[in-house]
Amino acid sequence: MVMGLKIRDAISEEFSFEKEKAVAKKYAQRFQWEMILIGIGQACVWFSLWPLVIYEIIPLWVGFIIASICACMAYLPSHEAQHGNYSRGNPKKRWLDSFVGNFTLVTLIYPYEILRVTHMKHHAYTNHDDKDPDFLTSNAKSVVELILVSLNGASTEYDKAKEIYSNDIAFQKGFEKGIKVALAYRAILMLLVFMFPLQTLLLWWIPAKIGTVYTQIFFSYYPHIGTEVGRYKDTRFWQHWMPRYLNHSMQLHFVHHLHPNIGHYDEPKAIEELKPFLIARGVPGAEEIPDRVTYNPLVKI
Amino acid sequence: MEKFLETILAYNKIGFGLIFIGSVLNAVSQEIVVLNEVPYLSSISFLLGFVIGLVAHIRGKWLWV
Repeated sequence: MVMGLKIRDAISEEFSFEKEKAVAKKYAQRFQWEMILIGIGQACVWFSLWPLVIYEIIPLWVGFIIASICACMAYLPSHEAQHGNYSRGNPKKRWLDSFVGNFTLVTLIYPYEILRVTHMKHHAYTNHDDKDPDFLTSNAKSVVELILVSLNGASTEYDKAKEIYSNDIAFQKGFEKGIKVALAYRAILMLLVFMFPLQTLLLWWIPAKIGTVYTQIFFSYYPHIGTEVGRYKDTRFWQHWMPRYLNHSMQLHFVHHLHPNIGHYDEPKAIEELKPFLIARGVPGAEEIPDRVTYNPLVKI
Repeated sequence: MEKFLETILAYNKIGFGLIFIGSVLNAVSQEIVVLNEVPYLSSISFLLGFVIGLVAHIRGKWLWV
């Protein structure tokens, strides 16, 4: 018994949180220029589609396909901003988080501040049915149910979160800011649909829905299927037929839940080094993490 | 201001049905040649959009599932 305790203590010391944090910190320093490029780039491409389609330089269906791809790429740069991964704690660079976070979400028609405050609560209360604002999507019974929940608008009923966190002043402040942006989006959408109905439908509204469903499937649903409550239990390593380059490498999302400040493109290297810690801590699926994650498409048929 | 925002949000689905769905239905119906002879086509399109929004508002959701 004493011997067993000693072994367990030795393991916990070897894979202590302090050591894990020190490894993670190495990968949480680099400036995330790729994300800024993707965020600003996709939004600029999306803006350029409007004159191109309205002046019939490209057909509407081509614009629709490009807009849908832009919408699928819109969330992740904002997600990095929500965690302050551009400013990295430097108050002088905080405008960069806000700028990229807001600008990239134009394609998805989402207010950055609402996503930011609700996402922080998702991290704090992952898989708590009453406190996790993403619970409906991360704990859907199937992809079909998730799509229906999303299209019904139920996945974005953030007013429920507003009620639950009514005593959280910072949450309320961020939420109020976001509501104004949401109303501005709604007003612009209504004005545009009146002037350019089919263009607004196929360049903005449907692509935004496609982008939202894509984001919820890969960022929320797959990483959390069958997981529990707890730091090392609430997100999993998973694989399927799709190469990770097509779903924003969300197979690796678990490391983001453990260390949100690791830059997205630094996650594969971080996971390679953190793998023994993840196995020791019992992260779901950790045993199946390949030794080499970088450049590995993580396909499993 | 808060009251104004609450009112807008409360009737969100009806406004969306009337303006957004109505405008889209109107544009689509203009493209369909067989409907060109139908009188009050624009009014019917916007009315239909309004009804869809009203039903969604009463039911609290857009889809039938």
